[in-house]
Amino acid sequence: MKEFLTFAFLGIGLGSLYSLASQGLLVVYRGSGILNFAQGAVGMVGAYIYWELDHQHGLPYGVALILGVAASALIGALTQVLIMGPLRRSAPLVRIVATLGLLIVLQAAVILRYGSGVVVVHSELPTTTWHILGGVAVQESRMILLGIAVVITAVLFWAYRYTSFGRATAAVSQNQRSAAALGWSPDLIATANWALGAGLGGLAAVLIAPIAQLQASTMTNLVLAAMAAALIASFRSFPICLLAGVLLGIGQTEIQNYWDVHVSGLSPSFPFIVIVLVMIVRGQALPLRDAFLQRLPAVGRAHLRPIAIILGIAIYSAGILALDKSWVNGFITTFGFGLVLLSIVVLTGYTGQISLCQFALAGVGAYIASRLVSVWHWPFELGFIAGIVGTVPVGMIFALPAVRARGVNLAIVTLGLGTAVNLLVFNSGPLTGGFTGTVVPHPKIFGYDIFAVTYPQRYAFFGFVLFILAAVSVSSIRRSRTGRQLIAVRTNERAAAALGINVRSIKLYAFGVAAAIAAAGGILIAFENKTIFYGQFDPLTSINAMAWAVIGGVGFIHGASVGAWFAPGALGTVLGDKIYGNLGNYILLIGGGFLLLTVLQTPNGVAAVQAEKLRPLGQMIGRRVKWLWAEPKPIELPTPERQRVAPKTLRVDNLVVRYGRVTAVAGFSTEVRPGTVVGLIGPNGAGKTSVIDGITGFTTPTEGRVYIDEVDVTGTGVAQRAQMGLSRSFQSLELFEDLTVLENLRTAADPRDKVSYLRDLVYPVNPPLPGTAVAAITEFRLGDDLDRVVENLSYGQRRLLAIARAVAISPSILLLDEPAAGLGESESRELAQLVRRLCDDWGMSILLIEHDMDFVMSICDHIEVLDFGKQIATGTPAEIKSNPHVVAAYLGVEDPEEAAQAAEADAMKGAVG
Amino acid sequence: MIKHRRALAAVGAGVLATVLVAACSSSKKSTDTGTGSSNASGSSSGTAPSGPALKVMTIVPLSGNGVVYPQESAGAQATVKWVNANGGVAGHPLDLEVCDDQNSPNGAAACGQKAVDDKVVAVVGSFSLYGNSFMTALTSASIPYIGPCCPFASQEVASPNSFIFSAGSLISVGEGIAAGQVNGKTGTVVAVETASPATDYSNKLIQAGLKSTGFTGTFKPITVSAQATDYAPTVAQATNGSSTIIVGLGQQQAQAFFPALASAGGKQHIIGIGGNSLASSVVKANADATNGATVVDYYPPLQSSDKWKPFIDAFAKYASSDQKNLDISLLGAETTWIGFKVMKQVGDKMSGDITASAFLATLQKSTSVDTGGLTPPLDLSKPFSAKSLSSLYNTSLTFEKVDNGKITWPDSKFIDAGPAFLQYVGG
Repeated sequence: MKEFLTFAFLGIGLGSLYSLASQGLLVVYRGSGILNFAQGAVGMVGAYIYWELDHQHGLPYGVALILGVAASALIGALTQVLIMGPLRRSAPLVRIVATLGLLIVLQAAVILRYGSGVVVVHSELPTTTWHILGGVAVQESRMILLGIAVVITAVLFWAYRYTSFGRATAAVSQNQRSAAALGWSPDLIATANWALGAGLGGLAAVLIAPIAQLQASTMTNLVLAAMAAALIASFRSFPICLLAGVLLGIGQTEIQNYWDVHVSGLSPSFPFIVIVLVMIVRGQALPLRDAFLQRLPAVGRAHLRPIAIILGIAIYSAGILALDKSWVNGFITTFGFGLVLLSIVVLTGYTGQISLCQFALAGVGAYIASRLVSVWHWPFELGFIAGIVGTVPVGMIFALPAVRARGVNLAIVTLGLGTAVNLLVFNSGPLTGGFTGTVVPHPKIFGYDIFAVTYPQRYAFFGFVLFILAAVSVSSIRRSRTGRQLIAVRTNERAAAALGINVRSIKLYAFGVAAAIAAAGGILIAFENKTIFYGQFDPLTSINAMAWAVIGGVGFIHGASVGAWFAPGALGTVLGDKIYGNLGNYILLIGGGFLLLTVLQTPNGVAAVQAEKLRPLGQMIGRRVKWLWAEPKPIELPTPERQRVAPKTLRVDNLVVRYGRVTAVAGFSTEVRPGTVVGLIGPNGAGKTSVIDGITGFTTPTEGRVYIDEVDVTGTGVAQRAQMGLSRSFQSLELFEDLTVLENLRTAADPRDKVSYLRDLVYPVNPPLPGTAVAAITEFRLGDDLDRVVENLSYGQRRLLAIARAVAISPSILLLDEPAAGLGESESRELAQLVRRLCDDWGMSILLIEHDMDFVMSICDHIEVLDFGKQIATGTPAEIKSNPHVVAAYLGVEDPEEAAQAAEADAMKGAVG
Repeated sequence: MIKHRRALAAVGAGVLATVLVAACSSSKKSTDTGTGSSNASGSSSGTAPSGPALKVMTIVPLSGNGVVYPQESAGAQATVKWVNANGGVAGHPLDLEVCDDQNSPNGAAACGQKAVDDKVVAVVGSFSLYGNSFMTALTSASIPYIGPCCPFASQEVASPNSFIFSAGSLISVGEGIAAGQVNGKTGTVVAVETASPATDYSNKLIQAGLKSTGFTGTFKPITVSAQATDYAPTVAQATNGSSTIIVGLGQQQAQAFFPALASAGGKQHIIGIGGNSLASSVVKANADATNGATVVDYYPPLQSSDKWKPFIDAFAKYASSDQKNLDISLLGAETTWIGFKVMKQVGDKMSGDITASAFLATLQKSTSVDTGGLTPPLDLSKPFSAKSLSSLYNTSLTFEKVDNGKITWPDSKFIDAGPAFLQYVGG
């Protein structure tokens, strides 16, 4: 017991380090919505400056401390002003990568000035040990640190809740425009928060330095672990962050004492395991209604251009054959990392999942293949395939906690998984062959020796072939229905689910495919040597891989081959060495600076710029020699056949939707039969969209049932209901902005068969457009704009496309949410006719929300009226028009009952006299 | 667009500023491929070397994610300058190339390839975590690999072209022997090691050393993560009921471990590794915590033994101003001196063309190489009988003592740890 308590107190010491390190992280997040991966590095710079002033120039402790903290705060403020400010409308991925660039630059600068070695810092805090409770040792310095952490937490808690600065921060983070309208400058608030957060990071680093000693990467490692505490606190609550940090410290220390001797690497991976567990328990299936769309990095079209492929093969082959061995090794490394970056293109570029563990998955592939080859004497060919195939389930298991997370949370979870695997498996003696390690024989393909040390060119061509195969596969995915589903999920999960796409399955698929591609890269990299070095598959390289992918262009296949040049030992390093000699740590600085420039200037990546510039050239060549450019044939629309959809009845029984204490819908019932249009009207805020959300499954109703053809679907998910024939359009359109009109429609219309998931890895088969999609194109006159990207369409066309897409899924039941909003008079009339035709000619059951009374009255067979969530009237258009309750609701009469009686009296008078 | 340009300019200015800061500041290590002077100036003894320069290489981590050893590169550069000021090797000046393995297997492989491409005559006094990445290239080109610091990769310690004068395995055995001697036969001996795939093996070797002294008590191994920040828990584990603590950490981790140990006020016997966990920089910074500790080393203590004087003098004379503060008692620096001394000793006897393979052949025939008393005379014609360590030609250790911040060598004796290793561990 005494031992347990001793280590618990020691754990409090470690926990206060975590708390101090993570408070600044929380401040930056609350103030600007950014997860600052460079938090540790910013603090570390302040600590180094403190050390130089204190230990080398002899300034008093207090002065040096303040100056060090001020330096960190200044860096924070500059970061916001110069980097994060310009990026405020960019996607979370781009902003995360910007902080990575900052991390790399700061670390490189510090190493260049102070060296990589450890700097000894003397402690200003007392170093005595108390002994309490008869033998439990407690360090005074750690308790002081805990005290400081508690005080800082209390001050932050008070400041962010009760001061106007705190309120301003909250306002800006929730709604920038409104806050600005109220007179608070979002930029100033964000800068102040960055300065405060960075300053806190500097303070933490200075306080921690005597305990951990000072080195370029110490604080970064500490902050990565401290992210667990911040995550538990949802990046919001300072007191919970403090408590979580302390508990993490205690847990880690107890595990270190009791378990580390049995399971190597368990205690340092504890915070990361906690991260994964927290995400499994928490997390949300679909984003809430108010998640606003941000500019995501562009996605390429991935057309296979023969001219580009031929040139690429020719140039790279010539390089491998003609240049000397150091170049060839550079090619090998480039291909290996190119594969890892391709996996990021699929997972992050196409599917929008920020994964910071791809290099760890590469290591898993290398592990499986090399252990099979070394220990069980499998031939290399089989081991290679087994490594790729075996990593797929690992990738899918990694995906499970990730499926419920997104954005920043997803980044941290994947980082946690990758770190845990590295600590528990790759650095474990027993699992990696102990002292002698894992030794593999020369890799051979059907007897042909391709060992990199003796036959570097053969190995390089092996890697090149792998990369080409993977690139062709990824291109096929992009151009196929699977690719459209990936991009749909990336762009708008809600809309994707409404089209019947199983968002969760798609994410698992993406993780699985990405894992396989990364594994190929990992095996290529690992088998360069006879002895396999698993430790090289470390978390920092996974983070860097994301950065390189963004530089190259995370949505472009070509981006993977460009980004890979930046990996250490790849062609960029070789080139740099040849031109400048041994660059050493300067290449890190250059890489980080380049990353920042790319993120600011060309967030779509180098490949995007290249594609734009080279396309005219390619088209010119294509006009001379058609097959070199291979422009795809324009789509020929078959003549539309009018087909009736499977008739289904929608029945809603006493639907109640409550959000917390607010009742949005207080009991709604209706029935929509095939061939009828039911209108749903009511004043703004009456709960109409909530009704649709409840019917489609976007919201779980508190009470009530929904039936499709008398099958109770109340418990099923959005995608399943869509697959049963229930389709909706959105008030906010929710189109896939990056895709073309045709791709939007195809995404809706594609059959969702399981075979295509595998076949699309090899060859895309685009089925002929179904009748509903063709009809939608013709009816809505979208035929000329099929190849235009959605963001370039006019407002009216976008509205029509939104409806067309909902129709293209060939639904039996169609729910339209304010389809005519913003349309002119004649357009509205045309739309009304179209909706009527869908119902009469196609046999759909349609439920329609609209404000335009002419629209509603002219086409609805039946109308339901909502007011303050209550269903106040139901009937034919004529009945509703004269219903006094309805009139009162729309005009706002004081006493609806009195008005109703007066109206009845009028009616009777009219009847009598 | 203008905003972007401003941002671009600002970032560019920022990058430029950091580069200037870095360039103007004192760099603590050299990142260039330094070259030793080919022409001696003002040589103190011997004739100025003439004839074509002999290319040599030292491989050492100077950048990347992991421990770096600028001390080793500085030691090599100063030593080569001294060699060239003292007649070179067989009258040829040495042309040194320091290759940074960038703490990665690719970097190490690139250095190996460079050695072959540049036709170096020998790779001397190196250190790398990825030895197997370059050994294949060196072995196939018959390039001798002389006197690396702390080799542990299988090909580094057992190849026909490798000549190592120190091996971590024997240090581990030595730690056990020293611990057994100061601790007595009973009690608990704790070993604190950095967690790595080699940890289990190191612990096995320590136990072998302990057993050879007749120790019958408890042996408790403790591991520390390489990324550890707070060493207080480790110290608590180590001091819990133990009588002796073996500190098997590297110099950088030891710098954080000993203050924590001092805080906890432990009274255990301390055993450490010279040039590593008890390097003189560590001992100086933690005089109280390390007072009375036993230092297991391959060589006499640099601080107090006059046998190191030539190296100390050479370093003082030839090191550049920003290298002068580096701690050359680190094993990596010491072994560069010994490695080049062996090269000079053996090479001076050669005549005619000195190529890598000729040099290798001569090394394999040398029976009594004098390192200036830093080791017993070395017989390079007889590989060690343990096949996994066949390239080890020096199994002698020194047991030193820390005395108020200084390291002394009380018995001035070399202790042969070979027999203990062979008996308890085998081939």
